[in-house]
Amino acid sequence: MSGKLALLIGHRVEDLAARTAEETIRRRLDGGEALESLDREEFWEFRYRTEELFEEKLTALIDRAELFVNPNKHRWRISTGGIAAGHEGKGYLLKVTNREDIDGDVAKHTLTMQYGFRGLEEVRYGVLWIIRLAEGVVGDGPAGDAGRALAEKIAVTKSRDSGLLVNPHYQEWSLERIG
Amino acid sequence: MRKIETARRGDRERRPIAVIQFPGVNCEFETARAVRSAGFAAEVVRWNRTEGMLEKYGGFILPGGFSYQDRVRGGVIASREPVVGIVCEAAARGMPILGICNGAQILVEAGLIPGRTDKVEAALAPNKMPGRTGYHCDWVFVRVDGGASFLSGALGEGDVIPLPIAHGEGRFVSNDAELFPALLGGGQIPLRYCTAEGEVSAESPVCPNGSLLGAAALCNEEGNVLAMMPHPERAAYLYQVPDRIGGAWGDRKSALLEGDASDLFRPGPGAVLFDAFCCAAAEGVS
Repeated sequence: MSGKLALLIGHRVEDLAARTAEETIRRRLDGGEALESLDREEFWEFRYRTEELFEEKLTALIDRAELFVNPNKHRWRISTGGIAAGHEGKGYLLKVTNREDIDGDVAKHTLTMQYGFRGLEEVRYGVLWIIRLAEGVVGDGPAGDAGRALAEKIAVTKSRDSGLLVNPHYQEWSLERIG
Repeated sequence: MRKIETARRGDRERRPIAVIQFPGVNCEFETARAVRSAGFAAEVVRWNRTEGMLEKYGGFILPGGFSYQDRVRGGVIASREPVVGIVCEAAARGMPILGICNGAQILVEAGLIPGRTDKVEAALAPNKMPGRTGYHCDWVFVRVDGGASFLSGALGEGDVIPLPIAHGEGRFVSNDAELFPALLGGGQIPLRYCTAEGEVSAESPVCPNGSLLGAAALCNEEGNVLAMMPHPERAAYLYQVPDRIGGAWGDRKSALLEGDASDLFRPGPGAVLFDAFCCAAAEGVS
């Protein structure tokens, strides 16, 4: 049996990295005044080919070993429908991963060698930014294109006053509209 | 060394050096102390100072640490602060600017390094080491390997010095495959990781982070802005040097342990970098 699932991790308390990024975009970057809110989730994507009940085994590991999640400060959920599933409202999802995903490689090694996961083919780590723009910026047709262009401008670092969330010199990204 | 002697004689007006304290940095006071040991006044200056309050300084140092807790990426939040805009303007006037570790990350994220365009042209990516990830702390050797920066006033081509490193995101990279060879050719990689004998390598363990071409520091084309990952302020005095590192500096430290303890406060291998920086500041800019 082959499959793919994602573990998404957010904060129970205020996510200070998201708040700092939000304030920096609003106050320092071109176009930042159109940002309504910015939130963040970390994610782990698992691709596997195994006869084991992978999701059940991973859930048990998260509950018992606290390997990916600290229950005192994190909330988490597993998605089998991709990392975009389960996000409500209008906005853009910015998926950021490192081109050389050392954290993913280390997690795969740990799960395989220390926790006995069989058939694990790939683990990817990344950050999902949820970008919500001010009313009227995100719409259908041309407005939608303008919203996407603005979200990309906010996200992808090009110069000191343009882009914050991705450095394309070592990171990969994709932008997906929701709502 | 000759230029430094000139600077130390004080034949030009000496303006103090500002060490900029962003929230979360932790090396500002020892950096200021290293500057003072080079014979210059140094002041730790908070990041929210305005342009007029920074006019009196003759050079800026962005010290190491974890500005804004490394939120988003090391150095990126600080790089958007107005004070970095003031630093950019000072750099354009030729003022010497030194970024150490987190300070180097700030300069790269600000686009000041390598500074060939007004864009961000590179990154300091997470360390790449076989079998491990994350923060790495050790002593390394670096070789002077390019003449474009102000370091050439104090260090000769091929000089090898030991320095400590302590970072999780110290790998100089760019998605422009032609950039780093061009920087090397232009003398803009003034420090490269090497063995104790001076053999440069981009491979672990000589290179502790996987930097392209074994780059430990980059400078701009004019040579007045330098971003380096090793910490010279942690090697400014001989007592800071571990005798285990061997080589001339290790031997010197071992010999001193048998002698007068006051000699341990003599300049260490990192001191010469502050000498070079102060020399550049003494040459003066508008």
